Amino acid sequence: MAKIEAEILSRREPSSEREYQARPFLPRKPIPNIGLERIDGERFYSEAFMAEEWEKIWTKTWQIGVRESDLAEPGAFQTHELGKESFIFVRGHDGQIRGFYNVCQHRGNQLCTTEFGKTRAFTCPFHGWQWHTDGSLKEVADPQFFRQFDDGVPEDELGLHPVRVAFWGGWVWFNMNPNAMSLESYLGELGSQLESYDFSEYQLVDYQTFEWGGNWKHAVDAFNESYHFCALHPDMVQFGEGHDIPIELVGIHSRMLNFSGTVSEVLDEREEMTPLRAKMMETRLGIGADEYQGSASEVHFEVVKHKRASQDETHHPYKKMNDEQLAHQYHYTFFPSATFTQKPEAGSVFRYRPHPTDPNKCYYDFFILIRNPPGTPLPEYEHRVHAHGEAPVYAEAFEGTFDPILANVLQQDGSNMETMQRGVKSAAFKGMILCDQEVRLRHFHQNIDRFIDGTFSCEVNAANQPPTSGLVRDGGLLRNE
Amino acid sequence: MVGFYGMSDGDQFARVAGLEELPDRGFIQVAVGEYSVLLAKLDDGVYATENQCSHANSTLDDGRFRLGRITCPLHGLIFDFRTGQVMGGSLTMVGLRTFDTKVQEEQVYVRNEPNEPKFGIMKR
Repeated sequence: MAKIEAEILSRREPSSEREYQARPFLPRKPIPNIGLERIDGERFYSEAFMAEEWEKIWTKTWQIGVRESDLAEPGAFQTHELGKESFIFVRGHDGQIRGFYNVCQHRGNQLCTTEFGKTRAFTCPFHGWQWHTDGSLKEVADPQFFRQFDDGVPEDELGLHPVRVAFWGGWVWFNMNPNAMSLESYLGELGSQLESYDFSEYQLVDYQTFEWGGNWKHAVDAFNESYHFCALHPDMVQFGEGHDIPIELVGIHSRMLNFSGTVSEVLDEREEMTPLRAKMMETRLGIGADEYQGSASEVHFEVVKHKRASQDETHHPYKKMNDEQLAHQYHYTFFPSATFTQKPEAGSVFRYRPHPTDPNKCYYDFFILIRNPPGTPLPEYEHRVHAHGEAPVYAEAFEGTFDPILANVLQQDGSNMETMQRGVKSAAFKGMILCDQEVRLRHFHQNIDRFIDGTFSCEVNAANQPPTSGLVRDGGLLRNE
Repeated sequence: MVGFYGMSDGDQFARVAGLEELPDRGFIQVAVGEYSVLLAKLDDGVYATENQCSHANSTLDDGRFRLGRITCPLHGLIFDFRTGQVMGGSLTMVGLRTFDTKVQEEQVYVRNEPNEPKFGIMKR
């Protein structure tokens, strides 16, 4: 247990222990023992493994697509790429949002070649076949040329191929398996916990994609533990605690608590308010140095006090949140590819995507969302894509939307992708040795294996559905109690 | 032509709207002589493009306006509203025709003849 946990528990008032939608981490549950085996390196570079992942995971699980708010008007569409597929999400002229594979049913051409737009009807640029925004066929160009259509164009067979969509947190999610369990069931207990943030009220202010020179699972692993803070991000331990933190495995998903507004116990001087600590207190937590003269390790108590005092006036949902949520970062990852890192006022969403053909590359999407006061016009973000080998200075890429110190932290994370990818291929690498603070990685890779070997299926009514709540199921391996 | 005032031959501007008629985000459609023109107020001025895609001649007035760009509702091409240049899609390298604008005493004037379209893809 980290020192800060004892400090919080010793000062926790009984009145703060009422039941919240998001269950507090503290007092922490023991980190579950799910094994000690090494994790092989081949899964990160094998093309055969990549093909299995596509077949058994990417095409069978729920993925984040686009923001609902980007489809405000009838006819508005966004495209999104996942692996070898491209999808269109569109608000039909009947008001309903739908998803389709971005493929012309005539010759297989990609229908939409741009990322956003608004259309009366989707028109293939190749021969001019057209579809309504509900996916139904509108027109075949010169149908008299097709002997197949002598008895009439079979409109029912020629609609755009749908992809299943569902809505949660202001996002349009999609699943390539039409028989998949519902999104609500899939997100399970952790999804329900995060509803306390009212994500649909958040506005997307920045969206950047980094093509990294490593397998997508390296990117997931990079963000699902904080054990690396001391070595890779020495700044982070100056204004937060990532050393020995609470972690919970909840079904196939997981969460952890990164403490903010404190100084890590790995440092000797936890009390002194250094310039860096003061700056982060102000920019991340909104408390000026003139308002707080206490210990740098106890800023988080002041944060809770400030937010509780304003909870009746603010548009932020402080009232629905436990004290931990007010001050610290709740970090949730939904298998396989979505991470939510949250404060009440703002959050980042990480989305991990495989490269279409190369297991040595991936796409890391970084979304910044802010809960602006009601009535704020929707910010017009620009989606920027940073190709491999053209890595920007992250602090410059995020100028105006993300703290430069934290942007630099992200750059440090990205810097490991290529070196990890090379290292796991080495004859000298014998598999990853993971500690308890890395248990989310072990859990993640075990889940990958279970999907691939067929132990888990997300088909509706399947007998081998993966657990999505903390409740232990028959034969379940996921225990937190 | 009624409504135009001449600065010199070939350099005539028509009043098309009051500045307050232009939305903060979006555009309005106006007529300039025989041309249908889209007019938008961006953070550095008022801009005008022809309401006709340079690829397949679709009208653009029910396209999407975002980030100072207009999208074609037919094939989704994206054009920079300031310069008319292509920014997305590979169906044409030819930009939209733009019109010079002037704002005087809160009134918007548009030149009666378009500029030649710019060629090539504009990078963000």
